[in-house]
Amino acid sequence: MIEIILAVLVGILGGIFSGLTPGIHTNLLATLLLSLSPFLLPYVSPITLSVLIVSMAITHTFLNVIPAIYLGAPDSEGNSLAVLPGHRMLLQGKGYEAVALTVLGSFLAIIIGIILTPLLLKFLPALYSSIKDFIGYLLVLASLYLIFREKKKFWSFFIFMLAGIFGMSVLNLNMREPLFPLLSSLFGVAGLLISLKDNVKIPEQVISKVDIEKKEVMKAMGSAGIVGTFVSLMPGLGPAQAAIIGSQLIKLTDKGFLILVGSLETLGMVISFIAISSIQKARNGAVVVISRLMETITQKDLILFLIVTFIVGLIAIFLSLKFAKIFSRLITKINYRKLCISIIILIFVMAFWLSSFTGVYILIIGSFIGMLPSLVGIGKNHLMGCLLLPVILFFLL
Amino acid sequence: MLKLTFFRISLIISILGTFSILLISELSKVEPQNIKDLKKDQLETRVNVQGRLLATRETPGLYILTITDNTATIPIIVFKEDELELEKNKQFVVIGKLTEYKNELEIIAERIIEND
Repeated sequence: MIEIILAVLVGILGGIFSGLTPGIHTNLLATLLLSLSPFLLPYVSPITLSVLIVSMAITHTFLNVIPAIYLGAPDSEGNSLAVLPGHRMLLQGKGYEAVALTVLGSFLAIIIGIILTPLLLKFLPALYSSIKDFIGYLLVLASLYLIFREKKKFWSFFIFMLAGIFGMSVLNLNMREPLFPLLSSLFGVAGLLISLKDNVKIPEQVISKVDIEKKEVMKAMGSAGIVGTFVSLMPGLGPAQAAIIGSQLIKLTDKGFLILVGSLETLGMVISFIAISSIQKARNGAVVVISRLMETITQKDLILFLIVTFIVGLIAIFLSLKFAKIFSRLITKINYRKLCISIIILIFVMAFWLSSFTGVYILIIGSFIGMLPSLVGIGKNHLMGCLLLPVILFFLL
Repeated sequence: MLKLTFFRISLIISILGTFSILLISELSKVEPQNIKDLKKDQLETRVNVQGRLLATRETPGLYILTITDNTATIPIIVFKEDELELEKNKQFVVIGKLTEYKNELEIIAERIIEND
């Protein structure tokens, strides 16, 4: 028991580190842990190491939105979309509320995931085989809707396709960590450069309670529950694609969208624990490592993972809001122009460290592509073509 | 005027840059190599090996294959999607990412093709 509690605490510390550091994904730490497992396993059991990974992964999904909103530096496809409405709220002095909305989404996702577990265990195999043939067409429809609801249809189509070809080419390159320069350039550096160009000033941040109608929360969570469950089962799909589909199904405000984005990444993680136990499919890096550590994953193990998820979720609410308060206080004290430049330099250094000169080249090109939507006056969500087009082609070809 | 020039420069760099990366990705084919010659400095990059399937085992979520050529053997990790129907002792080409587990090299398969 003490071993499990210690694993939870160490996992939370790992999740704080990976969540708050742009470019450090929980998959990286889980893989590191896997490589250390030969030295650790004589002293701790595989289930303890797995609990550590569960705690780390769940904490990460709560905290990683903080650098995405305050610094405009996403570290995964899941929170890349949170940058957009989150940054808008930051510019209105509501950065803390933006974080609180994603935290609300994340915690509700844990509750939904736990409630759905008995149903999913029973119906997941049938559900999985019946939807996997249609997911490609669903993504085409969602992308077409995304493009053609925009007034400037030519530019939205052009930027979606350009980002798509860019994403496909980058993912096809033989390099380490292609997602970091890809997403950091399109959604991070580009936004920071536009902020520098427009001489953006960050206003005083207000620490306020979440102000949102219950109906909007229900809409966001309903959309997350349905789409998140389906998408979490599919290979190659992640929270970003789920957010695009989910927001097309039900019209949401910026606040509702932040709840949706917050919930999808956490829900994806919870569903992945159920999926490995029920349909034996590993849907993210953390679960891949768990499946390597454990010979079998029984329902008893799954229940332990879900209990740990719930407890860590409660702790992560407190941690996220605490760190959001600290970031809200600091962000106005620091010269924002200098901060933007420092973050851009940090992203370039990380890209070079992770992916060498190729990563830096991708960052430069991606940053120019990422600025195009702002320059032509359309939504930046068309840049999601970078992940949608490769996945559509994977399913349809 | 300045805004229009900045837009044009961004557009040109975006288009040329994207196609340069597309070209690089098309040209950088992964050449086949002997299993013995796989090195740790290739970790996390894509490699291509060809060999005979010796054994298959399962964990939750994964198949672990053992492939051999005349120089060495290596574990191949395959994520469970559909049923894996690979016959033992047949020759296969495996393209995937080189990783390390318990101080041993292994390949996370992206494509497995039967080699006639």
